[in-house]
Amino acid sequence: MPGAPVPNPSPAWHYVRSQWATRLGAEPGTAPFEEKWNEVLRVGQWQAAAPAAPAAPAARVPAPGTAALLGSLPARPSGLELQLYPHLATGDGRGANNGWLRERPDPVTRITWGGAVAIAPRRFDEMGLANGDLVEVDAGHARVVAPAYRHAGMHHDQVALPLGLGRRACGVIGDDVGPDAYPLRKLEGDRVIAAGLPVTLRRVGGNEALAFAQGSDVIDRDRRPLVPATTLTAFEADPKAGTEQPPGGPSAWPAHESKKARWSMSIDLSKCNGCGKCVIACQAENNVPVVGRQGILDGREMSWMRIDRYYDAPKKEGRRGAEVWDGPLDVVEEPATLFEPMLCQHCENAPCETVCPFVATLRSEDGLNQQIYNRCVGTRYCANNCPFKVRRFNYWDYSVRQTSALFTWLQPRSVRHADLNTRGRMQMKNNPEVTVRSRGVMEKCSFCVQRVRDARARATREGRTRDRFADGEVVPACMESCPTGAIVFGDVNNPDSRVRALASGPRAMRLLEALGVKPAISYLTKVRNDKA
Amino acid sequence: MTRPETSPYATVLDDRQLTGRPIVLAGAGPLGGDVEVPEPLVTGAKKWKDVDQDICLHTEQFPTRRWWIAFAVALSMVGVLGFALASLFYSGMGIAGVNQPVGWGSFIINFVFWIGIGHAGTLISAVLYLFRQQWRTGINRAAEAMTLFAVACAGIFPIIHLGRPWFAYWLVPYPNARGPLWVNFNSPLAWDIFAISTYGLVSLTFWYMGLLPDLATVRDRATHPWRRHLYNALSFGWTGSHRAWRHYESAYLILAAFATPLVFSVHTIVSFDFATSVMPGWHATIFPPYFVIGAIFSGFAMVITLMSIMRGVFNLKHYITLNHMEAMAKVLLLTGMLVGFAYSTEFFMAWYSGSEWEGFVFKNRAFGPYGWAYAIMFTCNVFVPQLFWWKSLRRHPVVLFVVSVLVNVGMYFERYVIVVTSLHRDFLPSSWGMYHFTFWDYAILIGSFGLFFTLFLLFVRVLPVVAISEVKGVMDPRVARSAPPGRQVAPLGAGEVRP
Repeated sequence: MPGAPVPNPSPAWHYVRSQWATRLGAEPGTAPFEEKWNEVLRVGQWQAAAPAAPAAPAARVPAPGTAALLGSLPARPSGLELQLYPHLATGDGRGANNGWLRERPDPVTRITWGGAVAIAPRRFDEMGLANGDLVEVDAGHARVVAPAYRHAGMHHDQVALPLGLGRRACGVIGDDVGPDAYPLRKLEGDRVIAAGLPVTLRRVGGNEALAFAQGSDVIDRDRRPLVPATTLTAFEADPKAGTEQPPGGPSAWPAHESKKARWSMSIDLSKCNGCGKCVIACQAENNVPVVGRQGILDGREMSWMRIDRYYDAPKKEGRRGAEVWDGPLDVVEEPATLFEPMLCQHCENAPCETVCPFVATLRSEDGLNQQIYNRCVGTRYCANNCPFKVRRFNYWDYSVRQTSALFTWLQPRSVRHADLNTRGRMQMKNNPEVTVRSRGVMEKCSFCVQRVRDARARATREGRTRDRFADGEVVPACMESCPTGAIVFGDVNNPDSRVRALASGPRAMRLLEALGVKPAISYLTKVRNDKA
Repeated sequence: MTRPETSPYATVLDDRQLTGRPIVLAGAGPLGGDVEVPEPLVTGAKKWKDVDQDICLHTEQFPTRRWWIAFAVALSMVGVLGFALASLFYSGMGIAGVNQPVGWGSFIINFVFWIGIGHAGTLISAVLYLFRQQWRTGINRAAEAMTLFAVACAGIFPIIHLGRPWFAYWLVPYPNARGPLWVNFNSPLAWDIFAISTYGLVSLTFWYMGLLPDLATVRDRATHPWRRHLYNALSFGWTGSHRAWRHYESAYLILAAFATPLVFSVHTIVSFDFATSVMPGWHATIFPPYFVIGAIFSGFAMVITLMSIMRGVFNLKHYITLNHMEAMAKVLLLTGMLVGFAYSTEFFMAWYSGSEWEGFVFKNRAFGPYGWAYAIMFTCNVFVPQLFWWKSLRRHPVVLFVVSVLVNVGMYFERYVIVVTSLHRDFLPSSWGMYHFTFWDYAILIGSFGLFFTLFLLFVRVLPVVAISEVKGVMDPRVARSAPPGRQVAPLGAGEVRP
C-alpha cells in the first residue's frame, strides 16, 4: 500500500527508488519524493515530459569508418557469387519450429518446408539439372549440399540460399528440414559477410524432392485469361485493359435471388505482393491442419487460400507463348511475375453443388457456398468438378490424436501429423468457433462464415435487421490480415459497400466467365508501370 | 420335298471340321440347286443325353488339382483384398494415391472397368436372345455369371472410395430421421445407386431363372440324397411339365426385354459421372455411347478370355466351338472399330471446337506425362483387334486369347487416361499435379481380380457352366435323339433346326 513503511526493504527497492530520484526531481526519503512516489504508485502511470521537437535531419554524411569499409570490400568476383537471405517464413531461424510458417510457401519459389539453391535458368540448364537435384555450394571455408531450384530472373552469376532452415534442435516440427546455410557466412574481423561470397557450384548425385505447393507456374494469358494484368499505358488508354476473356453464354438456369445480403469479395492484384499473411490468417482462424513436407509432396496441401505465382509466358511471334503449354519457363531476362490469391470463389452456379450426392454443399441465401461437414461422406466429386481446385480433402485424421499403438505402427505418418497438429497443448491454437474436421471430409474457404453468423447474432441481440450489414461489419481473417488492403469483403447488395464499387468498376474481372459458374470474387487488374 | 434322313451334322466331329462357312449340300434344293446349311453349333455328333453328361460332370466330380491350385491363388488374392480394405477403413483414404487435383484414381477406374465388363454378359443373354442368335446358347450361362461377378466386384468400389464409408447408406433414399434428408437427385453418383442396383438385381434374376431347368438336370442325376434335396430346393422343384416350360419361356422373354435396355442405360449412367462435370475431357456428349461401346468391347474380350480357358479345361470344345469364338471375335472387331471411331471423333471435336481447354486436354493426353498410358490404350484398343480381319487369326485359339487379354489391358488404360488426365491438368496451371498408384491401389486392383476369379471358380464347381436346356434346343434332333429309329418326329425343312 503506498505510504505504508516497507518492512525489510531489499537493495533492489532502494535501487529502484534511487533511479526514480532523477525523474521525480527529489531525493528518496524526502517528503516531496515520497509524495510523488506514492502518487505514481497509486495511479500506475507516470506522464513523462513531452519530448523535444526533433532536430532537423542532418545532411547525409557517411558515418565515420564507412569509407574505410567501402574501400576494404573485396573486388567483385568474376565467378559465382552467393547471396544468403533470411527465409521469409523462418526469418533468421526463429520461426523454424512453427508449422504454419514452414508450410506457407515461399512467395516466389513456392517451396514449402525446405529451401533450395536458387540458380539462374541458363546456368541450371547448362548444368543439366532438374529441380531438386543436389548441388554442393563451396565457399572455401564451408560446403553445403542443397537441392537446386531453377529460379527465373536470377542473375547468371549469382546463387542464393535461405538462412534459417536446417536447424537441428529447434523442436520436433522444424528439426532437420531444409539445408543449413549458416556455415557459409564468412567472418571477417568483427563483421559477418552474408552476401557476395565467392563460391563454386558442383553437382553431386541424388535428388531431394522440393515440396512445391503449386503445379505449373507458367501461364499463357492469351490462351488462359486467368490473371487480369495490364500495363499503365494500356490502362490509361482503356481502363478495362487486362480483363478480356471469352464471354459466357446465356444461362439455362434462372439467376439466384438475393433478397438478403450477398457476400462478395474483391482482390486487388495491384496491391497484392504475395506475402501470404492471408494464408496463415485463414489457417489460424479456421483450424486448417498442417500436413508436413510429405503431405505437400503427395499433393495433399490443406491451406484454404493459396497465392499462385505465375510467370507470363514469353511472347512468341507477336502472340504470347504460342507454343508454350508445358514445362518450365524459357530463359527470359526479366520474367513478369503475377500473384493471384486463389480461394473458393463462392460461385453462383457452383459446379460443386450439383454433383454432391449427399447434399453436403449448398448455396446459402446470403450468397455463401456452404460446406456442411457432418453431411460430407467424401466422394470428392465436388473437388474434381471445381475448376479452380480450391477444395481440400482430409485424407488423414490430422487433428485427432492417435493413441492406438496398432494405428501408429500401421501408419507411421500419423506420428508426424500428431507432432504437427496435436502434440502437447497445441490444440489450444484451434479457434473454438470453428469445427475441427475428421478424415474423409471436404473443406474449403467459407468466407469466414463464423464471423458472418456472429454479426447476424449480434444484430439480432441488438434488435437490428440481421440481413443487412454496414460495410466493414464483417471482416474475414484474410482481409483482416492483409497488410496492403488488397482484399475487400462485403455485401454487394449494400449500395455503400466498397466491394460493390470495386466489383462494378472497369478493372474488375471474374474468372472463367465462359464456364458460366459466376464467381462472387472479382479480381482487379494488376497495372504494371511500364513508363518508369 | 424330301428331307435327307442323315444330317450333314453327323460328320462334324470337332473344331477341325468347322470352317466358319456354311455347309453346302450339292443338289439338295427343290430344283436341284445347292442348299447352304449353317454349321452345327454342337459338334461331335452329341446326343441330348451326352449334353447332360458332359456339362454336369464337373459339378459331380471332386475338384481336380488344377482347380484347387487356381482357387488357392484366387483366394490368396482375396486375402490381399481383405487386408487392404481393412487397412483402408482403419487408416483412411490417405493410403491410396489420390490427392489434389486428382481426387479420383484407381478405385473409380476399377469401378468403371468392372461394370463395363459386365455388359457383355447381358448383351449375350438378352440382346442376342431377342435377335434369335442361336450361337449364344453355348456361352450365355458363363457370360451372365461373369456379369454378376463383375458387378459384385464393381460394387465394392463406390463404397470404399468414400472418405467416410460407414455413411454410405445415406445414399439410399428412404424416409429417415435425418431431417428427413434425401439424396441430391441432381448428382450422377445418386443415379449410379439406382442403375447398379437395378442392373445387379435384373441380371441375377435373369440368370437364376435361366438356371432352373439345368439345376433340375443336376438334381435328376444326383445320387446322394443331400445333393438331390439341395438342387431340388435350388431349382424350386422344377417338374419339366409343359406348363412349366411355357411359363419359363414367357418369363425368359420378359426378362430379356427388361435386361436389354440395361445394357445401354447402366453404362450411360456411369458415363454421366464424368459427362455432367465441367472438366475438359469429361464434359462431352459422346461419353454415353462411347462408354457403352467400350463396355461391350471389354466385356466381350473378357468373355473370350474366360471361354478360351474354360473350353480347354472342361472339355467343352464341342459346345463352345471355334465358330462361337469367331462370332465373338467379329463382335470384338466391330466394337473395337467403333471405339476407335469415338477416339477420332473426340480428337476432331477437340480441334474443331476451338476450345483452348479441350484442345489442351487432348494434346496433353497424347504427349504429356501420361502419354505412355495413351499409347497403350490406343495400340491395344484400335490396332490390335484389326488382326481379326483375317479369318485364320479369328479362329486361332492362342491369337484369340492374347488379343482378348490385350484388349482388356487397353480398356483399363482407357479408363485410366479418362480419369487421370482430365483431372491432373485442368483450368488453372497452378493446380496441376501428378497421380501415381500406391502399393494399396495395386493391392486392391489385384484383390478385385482375385474376388472375380474366386467367384467364377466356385461357379464352375457348383453350377452347370453351359445352358443345358438351351443348347439342347439348338441341336439337330436327327443327330441328337437317342430314340429308336422309326419314331415319328415332326418334319422339318431342309437345314432347319428346332429353335
